[in-house]
Amino acid sequence: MTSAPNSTEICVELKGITKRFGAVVANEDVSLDVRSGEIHAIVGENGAGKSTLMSILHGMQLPDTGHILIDGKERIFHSARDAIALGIGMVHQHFMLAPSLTSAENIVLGYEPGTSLKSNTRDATALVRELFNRFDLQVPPDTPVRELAIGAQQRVEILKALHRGARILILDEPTAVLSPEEVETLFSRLRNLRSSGITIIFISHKLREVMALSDRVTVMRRGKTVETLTTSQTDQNQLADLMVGSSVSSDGKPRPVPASHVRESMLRLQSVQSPTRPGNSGLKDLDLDIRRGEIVGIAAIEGNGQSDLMEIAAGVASPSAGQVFFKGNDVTRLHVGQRRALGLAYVPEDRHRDAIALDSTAAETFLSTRRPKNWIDWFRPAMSAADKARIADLMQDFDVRPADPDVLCRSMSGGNQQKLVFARELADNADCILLGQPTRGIDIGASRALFERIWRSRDKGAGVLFLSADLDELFSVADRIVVMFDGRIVSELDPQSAVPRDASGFMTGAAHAVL
Amino acid sequence: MPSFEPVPFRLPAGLVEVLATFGIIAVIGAVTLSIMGASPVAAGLAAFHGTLDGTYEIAGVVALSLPLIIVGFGASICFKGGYYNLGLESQLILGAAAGSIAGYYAGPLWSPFQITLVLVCGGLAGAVVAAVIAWLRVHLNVDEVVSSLLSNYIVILFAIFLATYPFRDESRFNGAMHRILPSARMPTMISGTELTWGVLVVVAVSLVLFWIFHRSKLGQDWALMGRSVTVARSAGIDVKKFGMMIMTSSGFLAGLAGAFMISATQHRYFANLALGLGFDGILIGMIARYRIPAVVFWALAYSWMLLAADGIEQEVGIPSEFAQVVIAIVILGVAVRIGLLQWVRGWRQRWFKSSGTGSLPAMRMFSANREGR
Repeated sequence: MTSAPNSTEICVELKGITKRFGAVVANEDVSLDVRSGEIHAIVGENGAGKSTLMSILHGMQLPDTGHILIDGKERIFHSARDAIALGIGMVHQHFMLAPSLTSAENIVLGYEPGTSLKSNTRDATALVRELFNRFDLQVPPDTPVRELAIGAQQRVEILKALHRGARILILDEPTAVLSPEEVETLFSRLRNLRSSGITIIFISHKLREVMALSDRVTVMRRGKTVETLTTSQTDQNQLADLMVGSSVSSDGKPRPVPASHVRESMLRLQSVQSPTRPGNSGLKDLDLDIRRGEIVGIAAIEGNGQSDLMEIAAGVASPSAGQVFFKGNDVTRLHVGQRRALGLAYVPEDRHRDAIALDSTAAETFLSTRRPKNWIDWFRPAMSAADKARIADLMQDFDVRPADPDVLCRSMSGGNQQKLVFARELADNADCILLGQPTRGIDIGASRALFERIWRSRDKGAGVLFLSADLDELFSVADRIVVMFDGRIVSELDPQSAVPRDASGFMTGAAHAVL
Repeated sequence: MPSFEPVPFRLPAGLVEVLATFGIIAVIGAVTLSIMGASPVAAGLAAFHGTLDGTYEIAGVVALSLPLIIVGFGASICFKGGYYNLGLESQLILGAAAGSIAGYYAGPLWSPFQITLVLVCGGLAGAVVAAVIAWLRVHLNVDEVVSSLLSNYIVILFAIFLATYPFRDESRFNGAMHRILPSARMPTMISGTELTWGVLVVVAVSLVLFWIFHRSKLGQDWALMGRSVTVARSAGIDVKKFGMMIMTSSGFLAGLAGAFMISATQHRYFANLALGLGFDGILIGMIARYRIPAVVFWALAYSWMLLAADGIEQEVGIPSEFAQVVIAIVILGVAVRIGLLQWVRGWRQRWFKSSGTGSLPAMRMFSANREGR
């Protein structure tokens, strides 16, 4: 599938790297070697230590012990600038771009041609054009970055690293923000870069992508490197086993459920509308019915109204027209707190914006959705000893690490923050569960555990609305797939008979089968 | 290989804060006084005599701090909820005017009842002003920082108008209201001092607010509003109602502080009463980082510094304006202490090993090599 690296010369070698943050060991005796001109994937669950290892390699953290060898020479990085000087570039998961500057300006930022007092714009543009041609990466050079699509912004990030002379490129979860088409484009560009001699370190927890792209793959688990394998000699199942340390099968197709039309409606949206905004189509007269005991998956490309749908279903936003019914009652005018009291659970799409406040403790986060029933409840203690014990138990149960109710959310990894949100939302056995991108940034083990719970709730009669950007995941979890395009439902698919490719045509608006 | 993290002995954070603050005050004060050509020892003694040497002096410090504590609470709870009510100054003054009116025109009534009436009227006056600003913010999205700051001019001039025309005491030349009835005045606690039994009101308010903001469900949701409005909304909190409540209650406390001054010490409202007190309260709220017990502490410390400056002026002859410069430096230092600490830590991390004992980069390289073998 991929050509073998043309050289076995080792350009990056990490030996015995250990890094502790207080009592937490992020990396323990990690060793890694990356060959020149290969695409080397690093896979592992959340908190396996991938990001820490890469920030050490990029000079943002100092290891407690261990050696970094670049081209066989031991180096110590005091800052990212030291790493950049040796040709190590990093493309962060959250782009570090100035939105109001043009792509050319962003690419040369900090390393502008010209003197330190006066930078030379004409030279910069010429330089950037040369980069475009050399690496076959095209972006409009004079467009402000905020007007570019996510995929183009990512190309700007890559070009920025290349402009700084990177020959070793670290990509931290580069596909997390991309649509399936953009992922394909990125991969072909990365293969091009490899053929021009750039070494690529690719961090991911999506095994399908790792299999498709990499030459070799290193698996990390709990801060240690478990094994380095040649990609062509392994498969997804073996990698998954190594990542979680136990055998999990990757095809967990749920047993089929009886047809949904005989079941009563749990959550129904009727002729719901929301306004069109820049980058968001809004909703255009949308009808959707989620019945008892079914999981409805939503497939859509970012900005086609699926976020509005989630917020209106949850009661965080109100529709500009139309009604929402919950168990047959009109709840259009009830806000999310009142709907929760009726048996709704809501995992928001944007964790940091909507689900948890980083300055709250785990227990405060957990209790934030508890609504007082009468005025005296406001003045009762926010948390009893029994509450605290229950929260600790639930955190254990949902595998939130550390399972300490007093820990600040800020100090937990993203995956553990998300598991805390699951624990909060799923603890009370809700009748209707709204899941917005629940597995974004969490690992296979945690997603499996979540889906097991969701299937169990579904079997007990809950209705589930499941929004995910990962079509494979959507097709393996949902009972019914609804495809949205431009604020409308354009197709409905049965995951038993359809495959993810069927959905992507409708998602881009290429195929038309308006129901 | 096993690792042993040494567990360093740590003083309670609050105590460290207090000791460090007074250490800084002593050093900066001593240096400034030396530059002025005065003896730091003599000045220190003067500060002690003026503020802590005897019941009269201590009572003075406490009496001065009481309205500051209340308005400091007003600032704290509002900032804690993520709203910036910079109109506390004028809300306090309007509260004083309203309390003054209630203390003269209503009654005479049974004294505890009339004192309560004065305090509640003052609080409501402040609350009404804050509620208008809150409404503009919540429903029309008018930035409350700007609107509350500018409201100060309007509201203060309105209070002066009240004292100059409709409620003026004709026997006085300038704009001043009538002296409130004796039944509206708080009884003196220690004779010969300004300390009244109103201290009990402040203690009660402190306890109630401590419970609400450090224990109760209301306080937890209130803090969540300040941390993230969007998270609060998704948690089911009615953010509009909460926004109104946060601003209005801070206005109530500011008004209460004004009426408290009338009932306890001033006994009448007049133009230029209590100018700057609201901003002092904002300062105290920020230094205390919105914690109720810390507000009490910093309000006392602030009053102490003001009176110590007076003491130094009287005994050593250093103008109290210079002492205020010292106070300003100290407050600046306290306010930025978190940032300073982080800066120092970041600097240390850069040059010393980040965990365990500090060692130079060269030593780290050496030890890394040794462990590698």
